[in-house]
Amino acid sequence: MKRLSTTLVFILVPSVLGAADLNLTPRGVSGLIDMPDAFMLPDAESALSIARDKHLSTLNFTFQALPRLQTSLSFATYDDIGAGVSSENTSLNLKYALTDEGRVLPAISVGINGLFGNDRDAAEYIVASKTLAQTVEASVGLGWGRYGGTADVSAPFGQRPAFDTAKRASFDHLFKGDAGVFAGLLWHTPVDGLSLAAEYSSDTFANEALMPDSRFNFGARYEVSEGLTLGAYQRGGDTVGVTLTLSGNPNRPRVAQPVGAPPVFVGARSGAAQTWGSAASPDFDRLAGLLSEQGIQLQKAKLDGDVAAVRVVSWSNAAVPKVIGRTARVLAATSPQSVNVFDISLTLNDLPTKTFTIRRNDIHQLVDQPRGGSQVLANTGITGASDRAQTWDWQQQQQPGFYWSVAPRIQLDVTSDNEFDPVAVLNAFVKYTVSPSLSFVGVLDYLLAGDKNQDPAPALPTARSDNSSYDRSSVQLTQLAAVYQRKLSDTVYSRFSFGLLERGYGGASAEILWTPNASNLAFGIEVNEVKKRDYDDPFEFVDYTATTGHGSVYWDTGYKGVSAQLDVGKYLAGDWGGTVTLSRYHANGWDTSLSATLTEANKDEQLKLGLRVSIPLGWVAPTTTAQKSTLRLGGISGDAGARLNVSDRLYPKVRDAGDQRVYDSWGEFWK
Amino acid sequence: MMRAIVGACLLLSTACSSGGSNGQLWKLASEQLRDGRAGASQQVSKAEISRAQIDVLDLAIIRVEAPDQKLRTLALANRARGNRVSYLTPSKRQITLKGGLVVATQGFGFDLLPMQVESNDPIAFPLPPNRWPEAISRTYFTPGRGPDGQSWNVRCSYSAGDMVRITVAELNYTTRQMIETCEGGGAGFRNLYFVDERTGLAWQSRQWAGPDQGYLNVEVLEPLD
Repeated sequence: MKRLSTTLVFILVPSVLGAADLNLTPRGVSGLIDMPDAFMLPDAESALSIARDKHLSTLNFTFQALPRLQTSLSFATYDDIGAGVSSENTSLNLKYALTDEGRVLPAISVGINGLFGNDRDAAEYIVASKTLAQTVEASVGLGWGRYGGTADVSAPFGQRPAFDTAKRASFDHLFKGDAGVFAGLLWHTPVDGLSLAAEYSSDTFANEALMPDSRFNFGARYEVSEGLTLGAYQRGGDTVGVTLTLSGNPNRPRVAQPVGAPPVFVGARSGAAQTWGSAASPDFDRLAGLLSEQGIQLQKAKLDGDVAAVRVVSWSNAAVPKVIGRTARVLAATSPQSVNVFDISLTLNDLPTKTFTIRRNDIHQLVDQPRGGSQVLANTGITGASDRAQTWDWQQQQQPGFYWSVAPRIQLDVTSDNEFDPVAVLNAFVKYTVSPSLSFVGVLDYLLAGDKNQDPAPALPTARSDNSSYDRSSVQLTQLAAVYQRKLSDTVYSRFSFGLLERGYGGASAEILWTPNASNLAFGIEVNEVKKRDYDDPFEFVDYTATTGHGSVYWDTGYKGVSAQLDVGKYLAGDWGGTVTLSRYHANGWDTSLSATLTEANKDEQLKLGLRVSIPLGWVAPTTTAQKSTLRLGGISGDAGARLNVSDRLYPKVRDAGDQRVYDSWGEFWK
Repeated sequence: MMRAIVGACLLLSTACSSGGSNGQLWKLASEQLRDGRAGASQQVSKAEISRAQIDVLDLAIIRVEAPDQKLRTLALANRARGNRVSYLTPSKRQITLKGGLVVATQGFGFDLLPMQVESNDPIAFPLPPNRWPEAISRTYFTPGRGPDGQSWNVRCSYSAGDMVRITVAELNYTTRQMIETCEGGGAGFRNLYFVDERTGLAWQSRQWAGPDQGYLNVEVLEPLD
């Protein structure tokens, strides 16, 4: 069984999403049947789609990354009936809106398919689309590469150079060579959810030597329910295919937002209740109780002159400003009259992150006022919180904690024999926390359903490509490690992990993260000394060691939630290189990221592309839990650019307290 | 059907944990499924209250309906600051009225952040309809990126309709139907008020509360003195 070089891993929750009316081509680009149109999807729309016919199987993830930029990552598997080009292809497709649709003028978009892939899917196009009579969308375009197969226009911008397979990213072929004209109509029928399409295609499937009988394709799509669309198409008179699309949008939660406790009423300062005693004899147990009613846990507290300092933590999915705002409300409504300033420090994932210094009068005067949030923020000081020993008047008693969870995980492999292999894994997680700094973590996996065959151990172990040699027939000890984390200064975090770090490796991992104050940048260094674990015995190792590590730069751009990450260093196979990751996050916790890895080992091959989508459970259920489901596509297998899977990396733990994210979500302060 | 699938997937994927939240999810998901079968009638019945019960309560009370959320509920005044009165529903949703104008909501699906109104706004500062200005401006704020979320600056004009006799919690009122047409900042909507000709209080209204939340129907069963 030949597998596509990618595995799709997802928890089932996000597969039932909420959707706009979606029409995606088999390569995940919004369009007609095979050909694209000029329209964009709603901002941040996300879709997972599958298309199957006798020649082609695709798995795509489409993401409207920005209002004018649509991206899709496409994993295609062809039947080897053609010219011998690789039967599998991973490619990135981009479509950019040059103009929006006007009353008279059409929408115009330009697109590139197959970026970083091989020449099989490479196609470029410019297309115009116009809505007619409210229910019909007409499109006409000019295509190159795959879309120029009909050669209706002879090389308007010069000849297309032969595809250089030695180049991992080729750009000199773009919009070169013969061009093909394509056009089509999409009709949203009176039957709710049903659309019909007809197109005049310029894709001759030359690489597959199909030579369709006709350039006309026909298709139908039906939105079975919100977020689930089924489709069928007939291509070239002799090929019939089906599509399935699951879609959703971070901006359109499936359920109403959770209600929870209402915020505490804050009136005039003179009427503050002084509930937790006077400055001379504060009752912090009472304060802890008041905060607990708001879903906030008080960890430490002290009164120092006119400053009330507290450290708090929230285990809900509430945005950082909401936790800070609710704490400030409680303090304003109940503190002794002598208190003028609140120093509120926030703990995330057992790490103290930031301290918010808020003027008490601002809370009393600006609560429930229009634009009160920005006025409070303008007067609020935000600095790094320290983990150094301080004199606190009150501290929550630290008790060792035990956490466990058991959850199934569904995994889909796309195979070249036109079958999907559903794999179900039962995942058990245990964590014993000795102190906020020290914990022990264990993970067990059991393959409930799927291919349990174990390939023979290779003669020489490899970084990742020998994954199928690991025993999958019984319960697997994936992780058993000690994790020590501590904040070294106001802005520097540290972590040290030791033990069985992941199914493939055990050893030691150390990390330092610096998050400067008043900056959207963060810098990290990670060094790992690991040894490859045995294919059968969970506590044995094979003769393969690796010293691996990266320097990382994290940048929250401040533009529509887009952030960038650059990792440069040495990967598990000893190859030096770098990974660029672009992400877009939403205040409700949705996070979509696309990564590209280039190292010495894949410099003559395709870039290693990966995609990751984290969806908060609160998006699909009326809950305040911080739990998320994660979908991963690509970037996992293969030796080139293989990175150690360490579960407790620092930046993801503290980034919600980053200055830009706090600013972006400050609208939650009064909620 | 889709709700059932969502619930089933939810149960499948969350399983169980020591944190407790997953257990709550099982309960929440089953409630979701149950509510879906029960329909709206069960919720509607919860929003009924007799005049006698209102008199016994002796509290300011309103009834709110969020059609898009299929929610209809009573809300009791729980705090006041000037003429801003916040009402709390039994399920802890909040709605704040300034005069008769909905100026903030929380928990009705999509929140409305505190609204900015002018001093001549005849809904926020009730006036008899014959003294209403031709037009006023307001700024609505809804959740969005940035410290104040997304703002919607609208200009609203008024037109008077017929005199209409309405019944609210067993009491009859003769009201003037007032139509408020607002446009601007990418938003456009039309609010409807049934206004007491003498005091200017809107006993019944249908008010826009943001692009996602849509319209809310508000009835003042017992105003704050």
